[in-house]
Amino acid sequence: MRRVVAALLHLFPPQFKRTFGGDMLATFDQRWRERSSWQLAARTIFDLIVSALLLRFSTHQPALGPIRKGDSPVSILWQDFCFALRTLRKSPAFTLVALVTLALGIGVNAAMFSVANAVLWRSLPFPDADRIMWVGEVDRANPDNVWGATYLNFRDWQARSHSFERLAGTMRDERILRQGTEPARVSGMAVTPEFFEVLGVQPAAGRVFGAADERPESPLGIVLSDRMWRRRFGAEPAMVGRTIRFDDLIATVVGIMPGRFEALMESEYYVPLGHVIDPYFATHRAVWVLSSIGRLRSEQTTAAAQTEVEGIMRQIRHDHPEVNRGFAMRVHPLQSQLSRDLRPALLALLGAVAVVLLIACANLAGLMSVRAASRAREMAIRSALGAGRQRMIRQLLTECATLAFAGGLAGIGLAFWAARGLQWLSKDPRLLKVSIDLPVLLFAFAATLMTTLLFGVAPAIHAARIDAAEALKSGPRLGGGPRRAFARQVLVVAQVALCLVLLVGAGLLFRSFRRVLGVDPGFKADHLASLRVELPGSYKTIAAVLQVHHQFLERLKSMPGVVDATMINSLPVSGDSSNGDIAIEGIASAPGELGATNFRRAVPGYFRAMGIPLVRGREFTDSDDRQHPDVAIINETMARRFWPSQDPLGRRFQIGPHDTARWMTIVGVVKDVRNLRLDSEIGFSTYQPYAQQPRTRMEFALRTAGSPELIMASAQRELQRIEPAAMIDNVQTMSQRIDETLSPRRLNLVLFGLFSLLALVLAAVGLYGVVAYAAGQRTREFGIRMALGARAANVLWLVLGQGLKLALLGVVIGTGVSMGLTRLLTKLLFGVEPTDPLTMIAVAILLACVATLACWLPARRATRIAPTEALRTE
Amino acid sequence: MSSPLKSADFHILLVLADGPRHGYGIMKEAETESGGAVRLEIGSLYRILARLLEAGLIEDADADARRHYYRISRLGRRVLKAEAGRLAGLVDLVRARRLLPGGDA
Repeated sequence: MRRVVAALLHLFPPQFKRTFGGDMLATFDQRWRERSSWQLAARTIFDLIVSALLLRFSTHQPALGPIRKGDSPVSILWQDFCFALRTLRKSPAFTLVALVTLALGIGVNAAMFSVANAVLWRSLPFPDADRIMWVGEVDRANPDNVWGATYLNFRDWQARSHSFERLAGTMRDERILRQGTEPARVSGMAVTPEFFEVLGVQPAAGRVFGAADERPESPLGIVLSDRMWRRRFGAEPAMVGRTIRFDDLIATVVGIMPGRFEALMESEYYVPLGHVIDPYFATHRAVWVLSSIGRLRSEQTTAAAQTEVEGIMRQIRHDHPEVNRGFAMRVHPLQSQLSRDLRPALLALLGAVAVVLLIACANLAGLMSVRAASRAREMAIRSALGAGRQRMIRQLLTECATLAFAGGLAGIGLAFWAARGLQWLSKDPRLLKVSIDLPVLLFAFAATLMTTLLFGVAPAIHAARIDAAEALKSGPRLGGGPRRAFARQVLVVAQVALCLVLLVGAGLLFRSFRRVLGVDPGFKADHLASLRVELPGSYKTIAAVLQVHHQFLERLKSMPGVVDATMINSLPVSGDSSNGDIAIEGIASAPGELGATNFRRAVPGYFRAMGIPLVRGREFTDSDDRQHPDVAIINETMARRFWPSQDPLGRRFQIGPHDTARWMTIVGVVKDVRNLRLDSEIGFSTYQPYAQQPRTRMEFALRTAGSPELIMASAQRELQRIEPAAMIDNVQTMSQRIDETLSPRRLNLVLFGLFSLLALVLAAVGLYGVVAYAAGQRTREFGIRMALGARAANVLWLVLGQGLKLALLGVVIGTGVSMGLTRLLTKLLFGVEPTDPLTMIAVAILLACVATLACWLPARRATRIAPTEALRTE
Repeated sequence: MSSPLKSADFHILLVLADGPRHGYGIMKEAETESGGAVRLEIGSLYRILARLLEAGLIEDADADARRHYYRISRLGRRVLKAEAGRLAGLVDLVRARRLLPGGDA
């Protein structure tokens, strides 16, 4: 502590330090002996700094004299710093504008970086996390289309691969917990025992799975997440060994995972995959239901592992042609796989904020340059009084650094709130990991340094080049000269160009959003309420399921305010992408060659109730049941693909494996419906009569006369009255459902729009500043012109024209740059080309209008100057 | 001295009126006498001492091997008395308004 005090003494003016330094140390020693505590330490440090500041400010020594021998570098820096504070305080408007610009620029960057870092780059919280790989198949033509693994393929990889210490298979698992009175839907994972070894995490209590747990005849074990243990079981200490009751099975808790494990898994529980996997999945090779992760051997590279598994897969495809689908094997870090869908948007936004910071820097450089020009005389006087060139540059740089660091601090504060806001807006659980941590602080620091250099160095060098005699002669107004003015113009053009690039990006996202909103979902989405109902495990027979579902439908239809009610296993815009391979009678094909169809099971009247037009044939009827032949209704896309000029009615096709799947006869064709999402491609869709393959989990849709919100709660109550044990959730209007699927796209748009707006304001301020300054310089000239008979309009055009020339140049350059850059946004667009001319033109016009306004304000002021006054200013 | 003394200055003068002290002595006594209201850490203490020295209210007494002792100057004593008088006047005023017990009410 004594050393700290001694070091802090350097902050004091040298004279003061010489006189009192020794005494202060002695006094402090005595005090510290009496009561050493961190409070005293903190008080003393704070007090020393404040006192030093007060002393520095109140002393009237020349702050910028030549460097005296004997001043330590720290003390010089301190002098510069104090002087910078005083100078900045003298021009509060400049300081405020600069601070706000910096805080916003650095703040949005730190915020976006914190998100990108947490989601894309920060390593997962597991030992040697960079060796944990995702292993699976993707579509060769479109690698974003991820297929993962089939159970039997996975088992072969596991047996034959040597690149991995362990390979684990995982599958989503969702069950209804019946613990206590309220049933609750919980989602977990079915995993092979290697899962926990791959991740390298020990349970907090009990054990994880062993090979024995996989066998179906052994009792079913379950591993709970920390969250489930706390939330659903009140952190019961004696949880291991207890049984948990789900709708369809009973499991014994064998272990509980630690809390940090959830950083990766949103899973609430883990069950052994071999125990719970559907026998159909476990025996058919061509069903991609698994994800596989592996821990790479330490000496192994990702590329070598990929080559190895690709070789294994080639052999498998040869032995089992049914899995030969034009897929490619991929081995890549689990980290990147988990954030794959967020990556394009995050990178685009990072780019956008970097551009905002660049604009902010250009803006500040312009401001500093103007300021340096107006301080030319001050600098000249200093230089004449003997201040060294180096010393003056240092002084200016210190000023910039002081500004930048204050701005950076404010920016970090801003980033903190921005990151919070983002978490709140997005609701994506992955964003919960976002925090302002050390890497973010380092990033903000680096951004601050870069900013200082970008906006500070050039003006500083310029200022130091000033010829003292010249500047003193020319009076206070004229500083800079043609070169400086040119530099300022370049900065303005750059700002406008960068701003245009951002605006074009925002414009494209906006147009995409409008396009998505304008997509015809294929059904009437208004006045539609929906809910999902899952029957308890007590419904063992098909007859019982059919009967209660019939009862549900009848009750819903009879409710006042309900026009129609219908039922399907999965309503449109549900993201449900269950699909199966098609085989068509009369068309010879290898498995999967004809593509796959999304399949759903609907009741008679479904299409009528949903407002989906029937193109050909008939709807399902009550007689389409298990006693009658299997039938199906297909969508237009599928009909067009296979029967472009023939009648598809009466044709037969299969979904699933050739040998076992049932043949269905096509009885109808309906219009295409956006079954997955509004912005997803329309593929093949197939509807089968619900009564031929009933399910216990169904979705209901109610067409209402009035507002659907009013019906939902009572509909839920009605159904619960019939079956109190039914699990009812997803109670939403159809508009809410659609809205939910749009929220990531909306968030991208809002953020990108916000950043572009910021850029626009900064660029406009920059333009305004330069034009106003230039006009100010020419006050005398305008005075003469007007005295000689120039009209106000002439002067207006003179000023306006000068600014607009710059703006238009910026627009032209920006458009060129946009053409090259917007394709980076391709993945975020929908129905709009990256080089969409309409967007480009609209943005260019918007920017031109803003630029005109920014130039018009100073131009008008120039015309209002009375000639006599202008002439007097000298 | 037309404007009132700052409370820390007043307390330091008051301590020194009792006899010469070194920095630590001033720090401790000022804190006790003010009932903890004046807590001076070394930075503030020496900043104020420097100011009082400059204003001629205190002066260097003898120094031992390690540090300076300070004593109140004649000017300082006069200022202190004036300030004390001003405060006493204030107290009388407060009593007269019956905000405090005692006095001639």
